[in-house]
Amino acid sequence: MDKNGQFCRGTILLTGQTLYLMSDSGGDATAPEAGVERYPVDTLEALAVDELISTCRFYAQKEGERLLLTYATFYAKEDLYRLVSSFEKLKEGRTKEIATDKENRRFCPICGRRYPDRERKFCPHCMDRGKVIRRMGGFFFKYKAQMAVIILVMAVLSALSVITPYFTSKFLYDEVLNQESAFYGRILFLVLLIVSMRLTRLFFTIVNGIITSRISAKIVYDMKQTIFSAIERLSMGYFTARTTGGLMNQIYYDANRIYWFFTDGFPYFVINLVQLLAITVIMLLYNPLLTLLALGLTPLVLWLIGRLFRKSRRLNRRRYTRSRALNALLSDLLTGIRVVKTFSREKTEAKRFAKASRELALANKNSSKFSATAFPLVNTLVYLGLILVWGFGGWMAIKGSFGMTYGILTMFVSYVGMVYDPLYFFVDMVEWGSDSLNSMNRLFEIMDAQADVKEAEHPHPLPKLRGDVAFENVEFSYTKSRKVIDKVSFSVGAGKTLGIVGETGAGKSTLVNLLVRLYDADEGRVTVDGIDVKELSFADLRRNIAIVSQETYLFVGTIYDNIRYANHDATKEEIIEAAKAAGAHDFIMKLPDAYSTMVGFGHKDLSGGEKQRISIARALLRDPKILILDEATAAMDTQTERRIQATLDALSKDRTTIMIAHRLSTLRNADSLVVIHNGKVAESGTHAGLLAQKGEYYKLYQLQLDALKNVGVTE
Amino acid sequence: MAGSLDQVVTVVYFDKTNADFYKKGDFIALVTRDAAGQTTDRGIVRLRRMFPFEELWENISVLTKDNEELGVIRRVSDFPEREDLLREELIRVYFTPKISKIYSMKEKYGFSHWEVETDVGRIGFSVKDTFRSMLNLPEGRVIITDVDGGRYEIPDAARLDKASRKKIELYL
Repeated sequence: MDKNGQFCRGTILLTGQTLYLMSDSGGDATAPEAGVERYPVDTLEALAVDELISTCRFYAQKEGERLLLTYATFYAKEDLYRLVSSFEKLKEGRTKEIATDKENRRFCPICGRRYPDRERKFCPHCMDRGKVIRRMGGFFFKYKAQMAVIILVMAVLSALSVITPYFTSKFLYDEVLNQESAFYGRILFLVLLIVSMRLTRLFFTIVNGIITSRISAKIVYDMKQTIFSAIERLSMGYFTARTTGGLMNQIYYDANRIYWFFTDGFPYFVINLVQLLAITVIMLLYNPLLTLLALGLTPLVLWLIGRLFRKSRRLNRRRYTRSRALNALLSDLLTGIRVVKTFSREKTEAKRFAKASRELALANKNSSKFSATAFPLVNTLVYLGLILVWGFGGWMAIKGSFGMTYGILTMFVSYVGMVYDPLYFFVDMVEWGSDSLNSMNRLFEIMDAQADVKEAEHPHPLPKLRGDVAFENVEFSYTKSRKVIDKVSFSVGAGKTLGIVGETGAGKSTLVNLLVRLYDADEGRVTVDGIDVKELSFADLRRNIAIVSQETYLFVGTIYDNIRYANHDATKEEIIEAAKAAGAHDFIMKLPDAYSTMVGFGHKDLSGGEKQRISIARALLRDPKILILDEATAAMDTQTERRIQATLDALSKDRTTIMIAHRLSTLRNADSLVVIHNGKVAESGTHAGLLAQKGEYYKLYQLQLDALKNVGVTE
Repeated sequence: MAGSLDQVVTVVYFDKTNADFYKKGDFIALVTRDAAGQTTDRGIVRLRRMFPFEELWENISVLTKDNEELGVIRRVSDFPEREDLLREELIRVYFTPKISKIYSMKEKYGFSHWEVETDVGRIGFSVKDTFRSMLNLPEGRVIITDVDGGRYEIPDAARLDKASRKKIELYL
């Protein structure tokens, strides 16, 4: 986009001396240098991006004033941010650090088309379908014996269904009922033959069912297992870029769809194809002309089925969305029933429900009406083919021409009826075949995704950790547009306690994430005992650090299991000690089932403070060299907090403790404090020192003190 | 009423008496005037609609670069001399191409690819998770957000030509 907000193509080029803006909009395009603007780098102080609602403004600071360079679509947003940071580095003379990353490719290297989603480097045009299916086939290859049996059984079944009409019509009329035939009058033989065919069919159907159900459960299990282990390997960044709930659903849905493709879709596809070919060949052998007549309408029918399926799928999808909307509304209203009642909104909500319900009814009606009218129409068309066979075939049989007999005629009629089921199947297969392919692709992507945070190949050995922690000029951002951590430096000696203070969203928890390498710093170093955390093995690093975070999570299981999670070798005494230290023992003993109380999703609901105490116990059991308490006591009342704090203080003697808290009183005993403001270290020092400084910390402290005075508590 | 909300919270409303806007380069800047008639230049400001889908020219929040609210414009017509300036800025900020015709809309592997005619020319874009990226508003208005976060608007889906409408019917 250009300066006036008109769409155009443009290129921005930054050299050591000049910033060039080139575009194809306006001006005399033939003139040399038309649409080129140049700005000497020395005259500009900084570049910046202002994000609007769906576009952004790219501007420069020049002599303290803002100078609009251009408007841009969001498509260019990331590139602009990169340019801004490169410009900054250029200004500071750090030209070597300017990233020339080729990683961030946005276009498919094969066809040059843009990736639809830059997080997924996947081009739908160049996807090698065969490869995807072959790779997926690998999952099923393990069960090749069973798969072979399934296909064999299905082949027998379809062979049976193909030859049955021969015996029930051709053989019956032309042989058994024909005085000239060797089989004349052997009706009992025919009946026995048909019965035995029926029984064989029954037998194989049952065998098929048993094998399929046995193998299918295994394959789904296998697949989910593979995906899950792939997921666990990925770094946090992968999960924040996608919503976890969506991810879980996707995996579940994809795995099922793929399973379905291979156990139901693919075998049936093969069987149907073979059956269709066999029927056509048999019919052609007996009477090519009549075959042509009978199947002449197939292309038309196929086309019609295709259209109708599309429309019906559309209607079904609408019905599905409407019903989903209704369900969402219902669960919304029931969950919020207390709010509905307190604001006495029952009547309006009832109306809202009635409206959604009516819409669903309408969608249901439309969809049922469609299937009730459209498919009988197609069936009539199919029937027309049958009538043609009856008419012409009958005429041929009477004339005795083309070797037509009554038996062949009835056989034809049966076969024509059998042709259309596979056809319906093929039309339907096209659509969900591509859906399944998409699912496979997504799963492979998860499996192939590289963890952003990689473990060092030759980790630095670290048998015993002292516990020195240091941040050196650390920078980090989750998204390009906002630095969450900006040149943060601080250090804490082994065995000391560091308090981190700052408002919500200042970046405190991010610091912790960087220390345990849930994420990696973009710039700068995070060190433990003077070693960059990137050089340590995950096992060493995480064995020595325990975090109690704001969001406590209890797994489904007993309280005992949940505490033991940190250290499976812990004895019962150790667990009880840990629980006591965390102030959890007393409330646990108040529960009727004590340590055996089931907690977690769907079980006993503990309060926020109780959960926090369990997770503190969990962390203490680990006996880490570095203990991080991220708002670990925020959900407790002040008294309980004080008590736990005292225990923690005692425990913190030979371990490094990093405490993050809102309540400054929690941090008063810390050896040093760091105040984080907007991702930067605003000030640091001891409690007394910072108070004397009368800066940010002093302000916060006064505020909290005042608040306490107001409610009649004095520190 | 004692203790009513308006006594506890103050929303600063800007009008001709206490504020004025001016053009600063290609940006918009604010000057405020206190009760004593003293004026302060607040520099370049941001304008954001409070109800972007319902009110185009009313309830405009005036923010600093760090998104701190300085005050609220009840309606842009409260500043008759500056109305054009304000409108121009808002149009820039909320720039959204309006779709008048859909040439093609194909859904493939979880993405949909659009080719459309808009009031600023023919453009193509990709949408991820089509169903959730289309916001249906009253009176047939539809807002579509593409993979980059760019937005496009269909002012009234019912008034699109039949061929165009058919392509998106499923998502309405």
